[in-house]
Amino acid sequence: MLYLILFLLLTASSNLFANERYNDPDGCFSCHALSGLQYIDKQGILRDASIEQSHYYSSLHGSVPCKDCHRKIRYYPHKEENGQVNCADSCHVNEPSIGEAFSHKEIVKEFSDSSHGTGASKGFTGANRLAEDDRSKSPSCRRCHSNSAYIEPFQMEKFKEAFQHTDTECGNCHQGEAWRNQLSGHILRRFIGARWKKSDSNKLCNDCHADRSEMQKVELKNPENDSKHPADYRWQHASESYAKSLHSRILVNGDENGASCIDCHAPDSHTSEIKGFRHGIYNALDAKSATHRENLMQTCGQSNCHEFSKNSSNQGFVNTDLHSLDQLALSDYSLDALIDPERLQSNWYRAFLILGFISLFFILGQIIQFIFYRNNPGKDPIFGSNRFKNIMLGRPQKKKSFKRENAKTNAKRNFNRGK
Amino acid sequence: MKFIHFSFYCYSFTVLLLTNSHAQQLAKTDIKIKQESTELPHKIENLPLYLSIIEFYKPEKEAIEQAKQSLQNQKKIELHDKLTLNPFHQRKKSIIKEKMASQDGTFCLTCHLPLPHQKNSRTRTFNNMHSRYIACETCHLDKQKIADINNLDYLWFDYNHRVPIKNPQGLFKASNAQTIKITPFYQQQVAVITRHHLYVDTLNEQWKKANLTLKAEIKARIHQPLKSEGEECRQCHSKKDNILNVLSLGATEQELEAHQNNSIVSFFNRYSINNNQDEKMTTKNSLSNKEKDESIQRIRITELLN
Repeated sequence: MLYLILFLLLTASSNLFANERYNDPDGCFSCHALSGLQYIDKQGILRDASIEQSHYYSSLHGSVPCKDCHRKIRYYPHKEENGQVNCADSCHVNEPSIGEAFSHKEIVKEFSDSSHGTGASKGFTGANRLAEDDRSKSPSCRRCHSNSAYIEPFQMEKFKEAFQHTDTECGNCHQGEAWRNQLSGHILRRFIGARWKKSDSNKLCNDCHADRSEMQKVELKNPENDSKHPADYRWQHASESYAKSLHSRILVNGDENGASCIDCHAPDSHTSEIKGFRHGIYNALDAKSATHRENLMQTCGQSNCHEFSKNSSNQGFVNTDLHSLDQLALSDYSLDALIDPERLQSNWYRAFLILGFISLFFILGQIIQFIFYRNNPGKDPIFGSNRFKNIMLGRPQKKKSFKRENAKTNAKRNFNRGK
Repeated sequence: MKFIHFSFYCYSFTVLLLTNSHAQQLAKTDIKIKQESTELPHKIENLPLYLSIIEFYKPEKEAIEQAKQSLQNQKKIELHDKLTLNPFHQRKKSIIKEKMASQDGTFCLTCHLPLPHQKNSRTRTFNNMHSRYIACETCHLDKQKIADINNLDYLWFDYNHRVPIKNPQGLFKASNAQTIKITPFYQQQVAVITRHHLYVDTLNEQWKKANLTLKAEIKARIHQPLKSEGEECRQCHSKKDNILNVLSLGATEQELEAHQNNSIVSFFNRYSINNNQDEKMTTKNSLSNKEKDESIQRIRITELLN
C-alpha cells in the first residue's frame, strides 16, 4: 500500500513538473560560467568565452539550452563553424498554449525580404563580428538584438506587483504550479506592457542612420528596375529631418503618442502580404512599403493616429513631407555642397543661393569701388546715397569740390582769353 | 693568468651593458661568474633569481637562431577592441586596453599582451584566465635551471605596491584583483622582476637601438630561465605533489577541496593531447584521417558531466 501511495505521488509530481525547463542540460556552464575565459584571436578581436550565468538565466533566451542555437558543438575544443547560430532555427522551448516549437522563422522571412534583407540572419559566430562591423552595410539580426533581460529593469517593479496576483486573482481558476511555471511569466510579461519604448527602437535605427559619414557610403536599390544608385542627400539626412519633426519631438518628451521610425516604415500590418513583425522596411517606391504613396493613407490612419487620412476626401494629408529638407540646418558651406542639385529641395538652400548671388554682387561692388575709386571723393559708393543723406539724415548738401570749381573757372577764363 | 683576468673583465663589461646598476652591485660583491658551467646556479646575492640565471647562463646558438626566426616571423596584431557590434551574450566589461597601459605587472608584460596565450585552442582561454592571478613565471620558470628547487615557494605578490602579501586571508576567493598574483619566491625573496625594475629600463633602451641580431640575443637571453610550455593542470590541482601550498595562500578547507577536485582539471587530465594512449587507440581503430583528427584533438563535452 505504501509503495502504491509513493508511486502515485511520484507520477503525480512528475506530471506536475513535466514542463519545467532545464537550462543547461549539456553542462556548458561548467566552463562558460567561469570569468576571465578570454583570448585575442588572429584578427585581433578580444574573444570572451565567459557568459554571465545569472544574466543568462534571466535573459530572453534563459530557458533555451545552449545547444538549441549552437547546434553542432559536440567536441572540445569547439570548432568555429560548429558554433554558428541561425536565428531561423526552432528551439526546444514550446509555445505554451498549443505546444509548438518556438522559432524566429517568420520574422527572419520578413526581414530577409525587406530593404535590410542582405544583412545576415545566420552563420553568427564570435569571429565574424569584425566582418559585420560596417554600419554602411545592411544590419544583421545581432546588430540590433542582443540577449537582453526577460523583464527589462524598468518594468521589474510592475512585474513583481502583477506577479503577486497569480496566486489570488489568476489562481482562482488556474491552479497548480505547472500552470504558474509555464504560463504566468509568459502572460504577465505581456500584461505589463511593451518591452520596447519607442525611443529605444529609434535608438537602434539611429545607431546607423544618424551616422552621416557611414550613410554617405550606402547604395540603394531601385525596386522598379533593380539598379543601384548612391543614397541621395535627403535619404542620408532622414534621421536628422525626422528628429525635427513633431513625431519625434513628442517621443523625446517621454510621451509614447509620437511615432517612431518603424511605426511608419514597418507598422504591425498595412497590406495583406505583410503580417507585421515590424521588420518589413522597404524602399518607398516599392509597392509593399508602408510608406509607398498607395499605402500612406492606411499607414497614417493606423489606430489612434490620423484615422481621418483613410477617407479619400482627406487625401491631401498624406502629401505632408515628414523628412522635409527645410527642417535641416544649413551646415555645410563647402563648394561641393553648395552646387549639389539634390539640396535644391531645401528652401533654405534655394534662398541661400539667390541671396548669395545678390550679396556677392554687392560685395564685389564694394571691392571694386575700394580699389579704383577710393581717391575720388566725389563719388559715393552707394547709388542714391547723397539723396539719402540730404533728405533722410538732413545733412547739408555737399558743395562742389574746389578742384572741379577751379577747373571750370579756368576753362572759362581760357575760353574768354581765346576769344 | 693575465689572459684569464682580461677575459673576466671583458665578460663583466658585457654584463655591465646588460644590467647597468645591478652589474655595479655584482662588481662590488665580487662574484665569480661561471661561464659554460654545467653546475646549476645558486642565487647571486641581492639579485632576484630570474636575473641570477640570466647572468649565469649564456644563451646557446640554437636558442639565438630560434629567437631570430621568431622575430622575423612575428606578425603584429591590430587590436579591434572597439567594435560597434556588441556581443550577443552579456559579459563583464573587459579592460584589456587599461591593462596594457598599466605599468603594474610582471616583466613579461613589457612585450607580451595581458592575454598572452593565443595559439592553442584547447588551453588558451583557461591559461589566460589563470594569468589574472598567477604570474607568468609561476608556470613558465624552467626548474631544471635552478639548483635548489626545494627552496622555491609560491606566495602572493602585490605588483602594484611591489610587496609580498603577508596576510593572504580571503585572497584565494577574491582573485580578480589582477595586480596581486601568485609568484615564485626563492629564499624568501621574490624570484622575478617587475616592470619597474631598473634592468627593464636599460633593456628597453637597448632594444630600441638594437638591430635584428642583437634583438635575437637579448630575446634568447631573457627567455633563458623560462620554458615555453607551462605546467600541467595537475601540478597545482592535485592532492599529491602539489607545488602550491594552497592553505598558506589563504584558502579555506572548502576552497582547498574544490581546488583539488576540480572537474575541468580531471577532464583535461583524462584527455590529454600528449597522451600516447589516445594516439595508439586511434591507430588501432584505423579511423579515417578526419576522424582521427577529431578523436585526438576533440573530446565530447558530455564526458565532462560523467
